[in-house]
Amino acid sequence: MQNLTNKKWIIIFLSIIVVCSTAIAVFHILPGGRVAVITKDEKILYKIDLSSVKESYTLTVGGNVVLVENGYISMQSADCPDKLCVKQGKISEVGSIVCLPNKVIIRIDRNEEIDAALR
Amino acid sequence: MNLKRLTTDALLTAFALIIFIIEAQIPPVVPIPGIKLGLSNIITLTSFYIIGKKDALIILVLRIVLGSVFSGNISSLIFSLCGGILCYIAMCIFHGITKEKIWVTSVLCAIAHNTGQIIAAVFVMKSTAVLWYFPYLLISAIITGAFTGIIVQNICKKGRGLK
Repeated sequence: MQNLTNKKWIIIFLSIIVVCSTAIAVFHILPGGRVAVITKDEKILYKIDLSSVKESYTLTVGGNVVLVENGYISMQSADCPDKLCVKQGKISEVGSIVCLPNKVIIRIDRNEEIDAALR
Repeated sequence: MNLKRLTTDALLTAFALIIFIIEAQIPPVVPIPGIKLGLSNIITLTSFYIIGKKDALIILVLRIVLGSVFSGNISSLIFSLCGGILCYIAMCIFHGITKEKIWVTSVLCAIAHNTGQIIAAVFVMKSTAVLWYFPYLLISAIITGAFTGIIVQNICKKGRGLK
């Protein structure tokens, strides 16, 4: 490893970047149910099927306000200092919004049937 | 610890703290927790290479603790500490392997730092949902690590007189 040139290191790091980007892209393409799970302090508070939401509404979870729309879920406001969860915007297919200071997690779970099919 | 070393360490801690606090004022470009430039790591790395291992650890821990006190984000202390310690361990392991290619060490440190933060987050949140962020953090670690590493490499070339 000592003889690796700058060029080789750049290639190694670039390939890690490519692998990560592919992973992110794959996460976004994977089909899945749209069940949003909202937890606070490790307890599940709500499970919402996003595709069955007709009119958008808000939920208050501690100091956070969650906006639920048809197919999308987002953090509308938060009382934490950095507000990163709010800036993250809407999520729909996969992923999660995490508010570290308030320990609130919004996660979109894939349908169990689809999970089983993938295995 | 003699007077000169004490003064140098104190001075570098102050530098790192100022950089840390100014950086905290910059609005985040990417809305994902944990992604930032990590400019204060410039000071940690520089002191590691120019002054010594022990001093770098002292400066790192002091900066993290004081930084979270001054920026008013005590809750982030556990994340920074976990990341910082892992970053320091990576520094100790890899500086012998990468030799004068400081930017490589810097990238590996940044990766270790973000891994540490993710591990801390998994334990604090008791949930694996935060692992979604890992690929994003890895990409940002490589870019920001290379950036700070190149800066450190240039400082070390010209700043041997600091010792």
